Amino acid sequence: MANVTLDTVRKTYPNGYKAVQGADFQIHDGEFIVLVGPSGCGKSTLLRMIAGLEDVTDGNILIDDAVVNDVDPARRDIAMVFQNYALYPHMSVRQNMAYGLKNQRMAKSEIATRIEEAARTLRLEEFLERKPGQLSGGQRQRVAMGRAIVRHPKVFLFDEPLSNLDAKLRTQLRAELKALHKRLEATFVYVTHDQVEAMSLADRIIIMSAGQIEQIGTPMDLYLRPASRFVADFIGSPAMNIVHGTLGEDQASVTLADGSALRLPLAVNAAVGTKVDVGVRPEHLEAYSSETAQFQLTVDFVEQLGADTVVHGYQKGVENPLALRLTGIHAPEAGEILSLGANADHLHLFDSVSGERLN
Amino acid sequence: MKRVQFSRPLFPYLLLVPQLSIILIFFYWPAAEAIRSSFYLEDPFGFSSTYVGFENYHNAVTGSEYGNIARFTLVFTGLVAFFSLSLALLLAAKADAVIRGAKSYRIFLMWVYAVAPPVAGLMGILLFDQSLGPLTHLAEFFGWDLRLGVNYWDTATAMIVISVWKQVPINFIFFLAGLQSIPRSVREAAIIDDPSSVSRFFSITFPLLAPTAFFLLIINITYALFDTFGVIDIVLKGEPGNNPITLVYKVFLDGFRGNDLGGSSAQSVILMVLVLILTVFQFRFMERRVHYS
Repeated sequence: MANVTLDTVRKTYPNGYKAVQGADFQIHDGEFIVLVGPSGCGKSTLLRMIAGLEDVTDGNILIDDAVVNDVDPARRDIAMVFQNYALYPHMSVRQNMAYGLKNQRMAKSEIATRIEEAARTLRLEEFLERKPGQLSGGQRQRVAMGRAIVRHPKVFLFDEPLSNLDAKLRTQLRAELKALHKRLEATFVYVTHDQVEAMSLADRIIIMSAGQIEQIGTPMDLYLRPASRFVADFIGSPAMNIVHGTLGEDQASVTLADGSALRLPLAVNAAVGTKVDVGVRPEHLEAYSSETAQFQLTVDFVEQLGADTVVHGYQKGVENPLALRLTGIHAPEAGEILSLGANADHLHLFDSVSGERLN
Repeated sequence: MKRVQFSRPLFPYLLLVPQLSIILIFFYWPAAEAIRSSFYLEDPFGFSSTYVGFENYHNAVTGSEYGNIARFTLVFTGLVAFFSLSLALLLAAKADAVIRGAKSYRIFLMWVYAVAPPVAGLMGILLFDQSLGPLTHLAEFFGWDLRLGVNYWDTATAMIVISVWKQVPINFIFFLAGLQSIPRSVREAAIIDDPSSVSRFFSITFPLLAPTAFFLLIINITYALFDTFGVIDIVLKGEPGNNPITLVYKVFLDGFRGNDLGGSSAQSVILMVLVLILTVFQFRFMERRVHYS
């Protein structure tokens, strides 16, 4: 089990493309870290640098306080699970798991013990003599995990391991993965583009955009206090409502596009006239009161999901459509105007230009 | 497999006619003709022929030279197939690892493929020329007095080198394509599992190339047996003397130089059967082991 430290790690490709621009963080022993972000944000590159499959352009990667920049991937004491499983098609499940151990010159009896143990954990006992081609997608991914587990590595690396599976299997394997982490107490670094996966699995999430780290924090940190508009938008479904405007004279109201004012129940520490984005999550809109900012939502259409209802609508002077999430079953009519409010705790203000959080 | 229903039952056969007629005219007809004439003794001018049963076969196989030529053919085929496959695999593995200028490397390695066998033979002769040939000079440097067309094994060496050189590019193309069809993540998984690139090559890359290698093995054996005719003919300048020849070249010599059409037909039928056995063997016994999924 191990710490992983990234010390101002950069990756620039020979063609000049900057895939990672300064990653600087520490992963603690036994932590489940999820790297999340849209495709092309550099999360996979970062993971591959930790694995040693990509060179580090600048900065240092440390595993247990030893710089591993120039250490061969096979000698970093890591294990990686790939999106498309990457099993060796000509080897049986048992041979797939044994291959890495054989190359470490491990005793045969020890290899057998470890494979039994992993097979039991992952319910693969009956498939050990089969070839990957004879297994289903979920079974293959379990074999890939087994191949990682048997190594007893310091760090487990996962590169979107569930993306090729169907939704039901994904949920099931997600739970298994979480249980596995709990049992192994190992350091997990997990890459995904799926924010639900990130929220449900992570101890801490590292959210990236365009090669930059936007925020590092627990899932609830990211949900409750997103550090930037990007994070606010990325985490949560349906996405956070964003209202563009200009900060008014009193620093406690925002002038919308049509000249109307949105009064805020808080003071904003920014220059008057700053372009701001006011954000509020669909589930945080409540009945309007004198303590809240007021939104006038004209109902457009309604999505009834059973457990909750998502009302989609719009407001005069607001460019973006707005959404409201209600618990239980509701059926507002299209065209109906709902008077809604958001209290100070649930309002997020961002600088329109830099995207940084203002409150 | 998707089945297509035709409303008129004869229509699909009509579609097959061009392909079938090519096979019939250019393969089955000559093959049948060869089998027929292998049972006859023909006079050199083709005026008359006498049925002699298996006498042509008997004479061919018991002929004093036949055993030697068959043995040389075996050695020649083995060496040509081995060297052209292993060199091509080495080049492909190296070219696959090249990142910068990969395309130019690959084109340079492939273009020999476009050279016709007799032209390859001619270029080979220039390389092995007694007074000008750079390869002769190279051999001389190592103390080897290489004499093309004079010494049996020197001529054999030249034939093998030229035949290998001619065949490496096509093997290279197939091996490179095979290498590139191995998923990147499988190789990366192997990099994490195994620190030695040599051991990785033999335990992961090569087994995954096995279907390609198997296919190429057949192609190369057939090439060495038959298609090297052009190279051999140019190297020998049509006058074998006491130089090595392969069975196919002997068919040509006996039939067209010796005017023994019956005997040469019998030999070509023997070769035909040989290839048939080889093909059946390879597809029946070996292909089963090299395909996955």
